[in-house]
Amino acid sequence: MKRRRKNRKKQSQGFVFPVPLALFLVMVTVTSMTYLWMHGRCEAAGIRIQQLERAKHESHQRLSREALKWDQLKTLPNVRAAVQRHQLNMDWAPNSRVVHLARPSIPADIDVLPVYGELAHLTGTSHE
Amino acid sequence: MIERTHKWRMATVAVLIMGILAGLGVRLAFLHLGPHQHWEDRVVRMRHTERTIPAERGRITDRRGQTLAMDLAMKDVWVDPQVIQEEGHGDFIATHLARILQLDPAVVQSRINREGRRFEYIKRHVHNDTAEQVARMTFRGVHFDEVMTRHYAQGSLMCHVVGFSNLEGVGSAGVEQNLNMYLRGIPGLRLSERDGRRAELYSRRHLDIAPRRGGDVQLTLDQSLQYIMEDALDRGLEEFGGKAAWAIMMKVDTGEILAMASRPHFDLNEYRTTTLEERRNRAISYNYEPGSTFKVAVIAAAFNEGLITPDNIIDCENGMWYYRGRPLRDYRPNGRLSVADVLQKSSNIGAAKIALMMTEAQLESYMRDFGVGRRSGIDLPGEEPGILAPRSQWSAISVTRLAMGHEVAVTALQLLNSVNAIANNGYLMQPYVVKRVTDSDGRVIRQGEPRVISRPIREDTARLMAQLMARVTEEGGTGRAARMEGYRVAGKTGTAQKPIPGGYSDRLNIASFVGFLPADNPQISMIVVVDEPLPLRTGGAVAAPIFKNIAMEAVRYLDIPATEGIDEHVARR
Repeated sequence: MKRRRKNRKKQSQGFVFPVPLALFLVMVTVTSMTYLWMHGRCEAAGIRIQQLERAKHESHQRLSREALKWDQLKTLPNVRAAVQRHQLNMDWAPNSRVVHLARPSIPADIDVLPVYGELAHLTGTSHE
Repeated sequence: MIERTHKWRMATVAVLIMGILAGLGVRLAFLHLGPHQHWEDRVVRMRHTERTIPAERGRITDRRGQTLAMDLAMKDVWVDPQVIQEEGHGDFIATHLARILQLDPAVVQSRINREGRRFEYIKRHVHNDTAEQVARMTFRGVHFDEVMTRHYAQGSLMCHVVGFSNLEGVGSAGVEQNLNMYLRGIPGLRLSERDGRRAELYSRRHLDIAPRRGGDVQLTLDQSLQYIMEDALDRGLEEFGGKAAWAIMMKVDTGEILAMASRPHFDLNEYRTTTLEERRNRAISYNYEPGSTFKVAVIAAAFNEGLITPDNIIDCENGMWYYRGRPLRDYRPNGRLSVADVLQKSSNIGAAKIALMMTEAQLESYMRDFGVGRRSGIDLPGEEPGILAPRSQWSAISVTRLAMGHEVAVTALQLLNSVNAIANNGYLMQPYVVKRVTDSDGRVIRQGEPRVISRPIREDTARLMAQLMARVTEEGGTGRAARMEGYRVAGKTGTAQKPIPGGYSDRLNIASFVGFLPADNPQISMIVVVDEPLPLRTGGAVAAPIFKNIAMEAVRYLDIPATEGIDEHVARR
């Protein structure tokens, strides 16, 4: 039996979407989607920056408060109150029990005697 | 048939949709192409936001860096009475709020029970820790607003020196006022846009200038020494009475003020409820006749002129002397005294006779060189210059009155500064309270430096005066109550009658003691003044013990070595 040929004329009368236009529309769509995505990312970054700004502000406030608390702990009335609270009986040492050390002014170029070698570092000289 | 109906319906819907779209398109065209400036402006106004970002005010610290004043985020606690009343837990909430916030429960209750109100403050400027305690209770109707406020960490300590800044952030007293230009920061500016929910759109931020924090001020005063001084003044007022008291401690060689206290005083965090009397810094703003403490300057001047020696004998007329027909009395009658004893026993007649050895021009010149009658220039507001009339206005007996500290008015700072010159080998220093000012980057923009104002007396005169003044606190002297174990204290007592209309009061005095220690190597000088102490009235009985109480702790705190009564055993290496 003879095969029927396809009626190409009928088929060729259908609308064929042009490839360049399709490519263009695809590019526009992709660009638009990309733009929207980047815009969303920028907005998200902006929100994140604002959150971090608030967090930085909060941290700064907290640091100030903690520094203030520490300063107040070190005041003389608080130290005295703490000493009393822990029932520590503290007072200044009497003058007769206070020893004041005086550093002799030894010039740097004078060698220190070997017997004082272990203390040489205190006078700024060295045996090394 | 059915097909045709479908087609008509679809065509009708299509036409309607097209019509709506066409209408929208026309409207859009009108908005963009027609006059639209009005709408554009309205949108811009709604979206545009311009916010000034307040700058943090700089800190004030003491000489060791301890914070005295700073900006702190705190919370205002407020309630919605309507919500609380609807819940029916008003009593319960009021009780707990009053307990945590340390308020009168009745006051809290009355605010919660206010009918028809949606907003009532319970307490303002509450610390965050305290606010968190309230927040943990999760009371409905209790809210918090965050506020930045100027907080004075030590309350009333050093209140007259630190001062305060008002609600507008402008310094209004003390260092806060004097150094306002350094402490205030530079506010920032943010231009941005916001969305429909009034939230800022970060991507639309046009301009963002960060605020610049104010500079930090470091004082020369030491918080611990200040506490020691204020505690001693309070105990002194309690023991000796008096309506006011003030004291200053100075570093001898530089003029740095280590402590300055004045009573009555006030809490800097409650400055809005204080009185002028409480806010007054008497240490620099109260003029008073110094009385016998002024003899130090007069006798030093006579020594410096070579008119007297310590062994010269002065006839003190057994306590009563008439000069130009006017009587001059001593508190205790004395016969013939050496110049050294005139100072030790504080003889008015002796001092008057010494003063008369000088010419009026010499006496006035020395007094002005000692800083009397002019401001010292301390970096605090409100300093009084004192009163010293020019000699052209002196009467025939003015010299004798000036010698005993009357007919002249000084502030405590002036008197201390003149005595400090004696301790400092004759150099009168400029007193100052600001050690350093640094900007927000830590750069020093102002540095306090010691400055010599004048040199009223020579070094040898100063050393001699120091030795003579040390006798005042020894046996036979009027300032024995200021004597300290291990230290020679050089000083002078003062008991000045207060002027009243027509003369001087017999009852009301200003008692004072001014001195420095150790006498042989002065490190600190100090003055204590008590106004109208009763029943004890003299400087030796009232001011000298307070001086001693402060000095005893100060020498240990500052590690000033004792100079007497200890072994001279020093470990050397």
